[in-house]
Amino acid sequence: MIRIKTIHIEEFRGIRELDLDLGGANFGICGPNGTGKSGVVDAIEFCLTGNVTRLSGQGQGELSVKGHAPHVEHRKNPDKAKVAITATIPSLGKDVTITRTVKNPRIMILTPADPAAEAVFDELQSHPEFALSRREIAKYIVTPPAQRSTDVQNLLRLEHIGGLRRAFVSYANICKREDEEAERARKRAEDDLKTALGLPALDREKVLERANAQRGILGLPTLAELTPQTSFKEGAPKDGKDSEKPGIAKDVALADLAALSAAIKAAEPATLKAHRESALSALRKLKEDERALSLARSHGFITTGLQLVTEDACPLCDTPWNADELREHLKAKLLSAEEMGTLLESLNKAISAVMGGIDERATAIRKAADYAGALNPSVLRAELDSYAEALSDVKASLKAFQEDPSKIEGAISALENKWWEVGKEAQARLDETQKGFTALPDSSAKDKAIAFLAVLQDRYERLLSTTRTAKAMGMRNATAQKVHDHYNAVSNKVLEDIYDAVAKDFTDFYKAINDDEGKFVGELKAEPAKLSFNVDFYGRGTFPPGAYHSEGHQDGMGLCLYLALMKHTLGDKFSFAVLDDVLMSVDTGHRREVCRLLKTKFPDTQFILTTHDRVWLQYMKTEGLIQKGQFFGGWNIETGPRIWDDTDVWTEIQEALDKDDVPRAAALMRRYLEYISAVLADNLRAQVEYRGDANYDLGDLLPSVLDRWKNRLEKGIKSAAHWDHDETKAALEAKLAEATMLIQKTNAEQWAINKSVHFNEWENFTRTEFKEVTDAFKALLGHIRCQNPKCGGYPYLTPRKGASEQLRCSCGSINVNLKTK
Amino acid sequence: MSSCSLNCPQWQLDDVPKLRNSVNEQHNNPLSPTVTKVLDEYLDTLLADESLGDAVAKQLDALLRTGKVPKIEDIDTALSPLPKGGDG
Repeated sequence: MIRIKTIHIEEFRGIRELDLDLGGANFGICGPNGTGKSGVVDAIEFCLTGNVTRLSGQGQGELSVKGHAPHVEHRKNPDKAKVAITATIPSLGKDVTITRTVKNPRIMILTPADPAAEAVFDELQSHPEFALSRREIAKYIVTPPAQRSTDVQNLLRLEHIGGLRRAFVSYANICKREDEEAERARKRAEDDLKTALGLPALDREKVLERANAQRGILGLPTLAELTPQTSFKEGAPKDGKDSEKPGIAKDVALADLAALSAAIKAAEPATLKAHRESALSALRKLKEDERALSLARSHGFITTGLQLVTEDACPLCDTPWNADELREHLKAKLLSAEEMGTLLESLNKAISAVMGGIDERATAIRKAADYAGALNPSVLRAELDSYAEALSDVKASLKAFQEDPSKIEGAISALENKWWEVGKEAQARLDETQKGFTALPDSSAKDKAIAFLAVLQDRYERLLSTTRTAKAMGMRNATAQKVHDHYNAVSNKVLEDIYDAVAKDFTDFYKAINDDEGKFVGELKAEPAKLSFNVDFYGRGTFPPGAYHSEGHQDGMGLCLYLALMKHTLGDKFSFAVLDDVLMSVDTGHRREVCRLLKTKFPDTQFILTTHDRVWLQYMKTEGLIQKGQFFGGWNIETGPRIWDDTDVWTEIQEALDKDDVPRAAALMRRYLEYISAVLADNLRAQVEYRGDANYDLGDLLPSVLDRWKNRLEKGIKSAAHWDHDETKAALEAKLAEATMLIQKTNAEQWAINKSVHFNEWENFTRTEFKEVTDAFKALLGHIRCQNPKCGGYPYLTPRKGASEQLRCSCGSINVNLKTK
Repeated sequence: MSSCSLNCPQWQLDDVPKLRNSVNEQHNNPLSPTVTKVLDEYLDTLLADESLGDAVAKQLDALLRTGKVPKIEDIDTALSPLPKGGDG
């Protein structure tokens, strides 16, 4: 990853021309709403990725980078809109400049060209999450578990795991369907054989007994065993007496027709009724829900589309596309359709059962039609064929829906169809056929035996063949389910381990910014295609963050989850992040903790933070999170953001003094000291006289703060003496002596008794007199803050409630033990 | 004068040290460490399942490591040859 040194923006979003010098360090951008802060964030994202999420993300249909990223005055000249970033790549120890224009957003100009640097930017481009806006933060918190699963998996670059899971699910579903179909065919073959034999159940002994009885009539040897190679008709004459073909066995035909007649009389099979009704009800609901219907319609299409996005151009028209973007887009859609996939799966199960019943009926009718045609004179089979055809159509409609859920109308019609009812004409033909067979003179015993053995052979071979297929399909299905189950188990376990680690970091981070929530715990629980996120609510159980927590807490959680995920995803490479107004809801009590969290847990990450709240920016500075910042004081369409220089307060005071403007210098210092005194009063838990309106002036705060500072140093000396830490004791004594001397120079302790040195009089001082005051306070504050130049923060007491145990700063350079037992 | 398929003006071509087209240079996604971990553990599980056979496990593993989501037919092929059907 990188660290940004400078940004140059031209005619981009609301910015005409702007240069920012970040120096590769944390940087704050502050300004009221509508002054161009997010324009800077957009520019960074654009320069590094060629994209602007705000213009291309979900729900931004009419917006585009090319059309709307240039300044409105240059919307027709996208080549004028450009961004250049100079960045350091710590891993390479190199500085490079990248430039991008809106006219060619896909083209990144890298100076100097360097393959290793290119690889860094490639990686960065695949992690657009380095920029996090407040709107995006919500997606990790208040979002449905299925969507969170995708968002988080995308962030962790785990989408391939989800893609493989979907492929295994599809494969397992197809194998299951084909297995069921094969089993239904086997069952039909078995039923036909049982009908021919007149047996309620197949039994080897009984089958042989029936076959041998007929073979005996023909004087053929008895078959001793039943094997797949058994030929029942072996040795039998090929022709019956009255026919060139083997005749139809009258008894078998009558048995088949009787079975069909009984099935017709029984109306809709009870076992299928429940499946048909539940499927019909689900389909009707689906049809009424337009969104769900749209998802169902597009489910198969999107899945197919996703499989086709393998190259960099459309396979149909060769138009180039960005495969990554297109894949993401399709996945987002598919994700929403994930639940629909589950619904379709259960629907398919019910529909498959109904299809099995229809298949069985169609087979029986076709057989009856063959019988009708075989009679002499024949019975007209047209009505029976029509009925069989109609049954095939019904089945085809249901199958069509299984393959393409957009064909819902046909499926509803098919399920509304009373396919089990036989039309009058067809029923008449069935009756005639049955009568015809009943009236047939009994053929000779030998002819009957020949015909019976031929039918038996045919049905036995069909049973063998369908059984083989069903067994193969069964094993294929078992393998498919097994590889799918193994994959689910393994991927879930790996993801759970990741999520456990992320949840632990999340919990640590969240506790760090809310130390009033010591028992807080966050849980991430992965299920296939879902990621549940629950957090503790004051020990009353864990709930989704949106359930009871305030918006401010949710924002804090969103940031913590984001940081935990980025830490896990990028590890040491998490060297750069843009946080765009992400903590606007965090209350003042937790802001310092957020600053400390970012500073202490991510010391190697460059944060670029935007806020519309000046106090927030001051907190960032006071806590040493940022050294530099930029104020945007206003905006207009002609000039873009109006920049205020954020010079150091002491420099500003000196500039006022140089102009002999003591009143301005005094006002500046008073305002600054009031702010710092408030921070220190809070940090050191100073005892300040309470005011209901919380309107504390410098006189209310600073003397108490300084008194508390000396008191805590004294406490530290006592503690060091108690533990025999002589060196520490000596150092603290020196520090206390220095504090006493510096405080004396400020005269702050005399404000109550000596009006002439009171801060209200500062504006009446001469330049020389006030310079002394300025130097005194500058030295005093310098004495209090951490001497580590990378920290520079003001010390604070821990814990925040109860007896103080430690006086420390964020980096730990100040670390004074206050405990004496 | 060199021509540019991206229609860049000449002055840009002369000045620009390096032009990149991220779309044309895309390759199969390299597997992330987490995905690799999943696939490693998955292969171990497949190999430990005696009912599947090592050849099938390795065939499927190779397919999954291509970096692309496999098509249904590819999975079917990888899991072949299926055990022969029984004799009924």
